Amino acid sequence: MTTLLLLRHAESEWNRAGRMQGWAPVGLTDRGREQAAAAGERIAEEYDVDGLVASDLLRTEATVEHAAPEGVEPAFQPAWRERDVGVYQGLAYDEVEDRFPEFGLGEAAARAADRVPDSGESLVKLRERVLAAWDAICRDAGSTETVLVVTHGGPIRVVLGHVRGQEMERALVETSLDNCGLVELSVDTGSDTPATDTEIVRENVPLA
Amino acid sequence: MTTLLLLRHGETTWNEQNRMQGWAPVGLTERGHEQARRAGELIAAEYDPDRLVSSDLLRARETTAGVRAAVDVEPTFDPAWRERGLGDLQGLTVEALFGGFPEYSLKRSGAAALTARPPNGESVLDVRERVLAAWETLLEGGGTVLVVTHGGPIAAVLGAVRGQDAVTGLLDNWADNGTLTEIAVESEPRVVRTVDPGASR
Repeated sequence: MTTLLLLRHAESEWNRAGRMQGWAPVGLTDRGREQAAAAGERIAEEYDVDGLVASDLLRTEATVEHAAPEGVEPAFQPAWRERDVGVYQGLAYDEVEDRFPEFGLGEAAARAADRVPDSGESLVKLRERVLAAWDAICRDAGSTETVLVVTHGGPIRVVLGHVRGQEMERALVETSLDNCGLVELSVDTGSDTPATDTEIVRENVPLA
Repeated sequence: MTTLLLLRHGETTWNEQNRMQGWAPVGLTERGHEQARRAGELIAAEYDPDRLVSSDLLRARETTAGVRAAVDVEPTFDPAWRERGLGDLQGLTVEALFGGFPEYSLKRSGAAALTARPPNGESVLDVRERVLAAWETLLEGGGTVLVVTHGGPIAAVLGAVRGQDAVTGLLDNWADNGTLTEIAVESEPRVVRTVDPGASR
């Protein structure tokens, strides 16, 4: 079986400030750098990582910098980015929840998954690009390999919903995920339907 | 004679925080609403606008609403008068943006920064072209026109009216929140005055 590890990035300055990040180039806090280093140590102890794929946004790049297993070259891919929230980028979560709940992080946004924020993308579009990248990993990973994916809350929820056969609306709302929370999946990549032949081994294990 | 009045929107929460707004739907502070109201009073007392054109971004809309308490002209909302679209850089503080990405700083990088386009955003030159095209259209219309817009578009227009090069024009003509600039057009446009209606009391 192939082991896929999905790691959410460490705490960023805007996580701490409670701002919608989208694709903003926001770096990690000191605490985030410590989280990433601690996550890297745990991953090195518990797994033997063969491949590393990561979102190319700054907060995931910085997480990789501190957490990457030695000798594994990261492949940075835009497909693993967080949702592009367009003109809502930089607003406080509370303000978006209050004034534009359809583009926030809660239930109203999950129900409005097809809505496109100005200059941004819908959750449906996010799901399409993330699942295309997920399919590519399932296709390319060897049957005994371990692949680490360093990404964001949105993409990890999308993948979990997919392997649970759950509607995205529920997966977005029901999955909690901390900074540097890890999900371990055991995937039968030889199967015609890898999503249904996937076991969720661990979910949101705090690594830091 | 044609008179053009350029009003920068009132203060917003992100102006207070020195946060780069771009197209973000950020509203005015109490002070910003007050600036808009005072600008409206000054305009009503000293001018008689035939038309009111406003950027369609929230902070300009709220400013226009405040102005209209005294100025009874139906507004037209036009995206051509928006601030620069900052794309992925929207929401960063001034310090984080220009400190972290000096290629966008006219002060540090000079003319090279004119064409630096943030991912999913506009370059300074993109904005200048879009705004000056809208400006030319207004000049053709004549009369007294009030334009409620943003710091970037106002600097682009004033730099062009003053015949400055693009970098100097943008750096030298930054308007404060709620300030009004009057431009008179006879054979050529000229800047008559810039006034802060809040400070004039």
